[in-house]
Amino acid sequence: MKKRLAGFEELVLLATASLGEEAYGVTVQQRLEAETGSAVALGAVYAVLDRLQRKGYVRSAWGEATPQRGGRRKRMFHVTAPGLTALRAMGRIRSRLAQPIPKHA
Amino acid sequence: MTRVLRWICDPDKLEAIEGDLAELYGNARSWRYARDVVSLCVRQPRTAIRSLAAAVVVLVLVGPIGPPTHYTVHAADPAGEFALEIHDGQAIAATLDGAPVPERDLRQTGDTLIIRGGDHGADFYIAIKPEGGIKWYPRHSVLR
Repeated sequence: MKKRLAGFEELVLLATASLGEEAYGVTVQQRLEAETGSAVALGAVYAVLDRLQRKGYVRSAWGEATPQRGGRRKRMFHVTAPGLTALRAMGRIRSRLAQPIPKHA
Repeated sequence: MTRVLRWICDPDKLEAIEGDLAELYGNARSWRYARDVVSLCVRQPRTAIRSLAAAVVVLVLVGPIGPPTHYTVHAADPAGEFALEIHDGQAIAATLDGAPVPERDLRQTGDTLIIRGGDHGADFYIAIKPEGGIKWYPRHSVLR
C-alpha cells in the first residue's frame, strides 16, 4: 500500500526539499510561514518531520552548533529518494486536477 | 516552560529543539515563544505517558482516589452489632443491634465518637479514622 502525503506533510516536504542543505527546524518553519503567509508552530513542523522520517521520506543528521543556538547542534533534514518520488507523484496529481475546466455552452 | 519541555521531550531530540528556540527567540519571551514551546510539548510522543503519570498523581492527591466522603460501617463485637453512617469524617447516624440511636446520644469531638449509653449503659467510644473506617475496643458480652 502506498504511503500517502497529507496536505501539511507535502508542504513540509516541499519546504525541506527547497532548502537543500539548509533545512532544519527553524528554516523549515520560516520558509513555510513566508510562503503560506500564516503562523506555523515549531511543534507542528517537528511532528511532521518526525512522521516523514518514519515514512522514509526524510533523514536527519546532526549539523553545526553555533553560539546563537547556545552551542547546541542543528538537526538537519534531507529529502530521500522515496521522498522526492512521493513529491513528484503528488505534483502529477495536482497538475492533472488543475487542468482547465471545460467551458460549457 | 522549558523545564516542562525538557521533562517531556525525547533527550535525543532536545538539543536541536532547544537550539532552535534559542536561535529564534534568544532570551526574549513572547507569545510566539510560548506557542512554540506548547506546540512542541503536546506533540512529543512521551507526552501521553507523562501526562497519564501526572494525571494519576493529581487524582491521588486531590481526586476520587482519596478517602471516601460518605460511607456506612457495619461492625460487631461480643456485645452485639452496630452500624455508623459517616459523612466527611462526622458520624451522622448510628444503630445498635438494628435500633436507631437518638441523635442526642451521638457526641463527636474530632475523630472520637461517643455513643452515650452504648456500652451496657456506659459510653461507647469509637475512633473514626481520617483515611476512612473506624477503630474501637470491643465491648464485652452481656450475660443474660
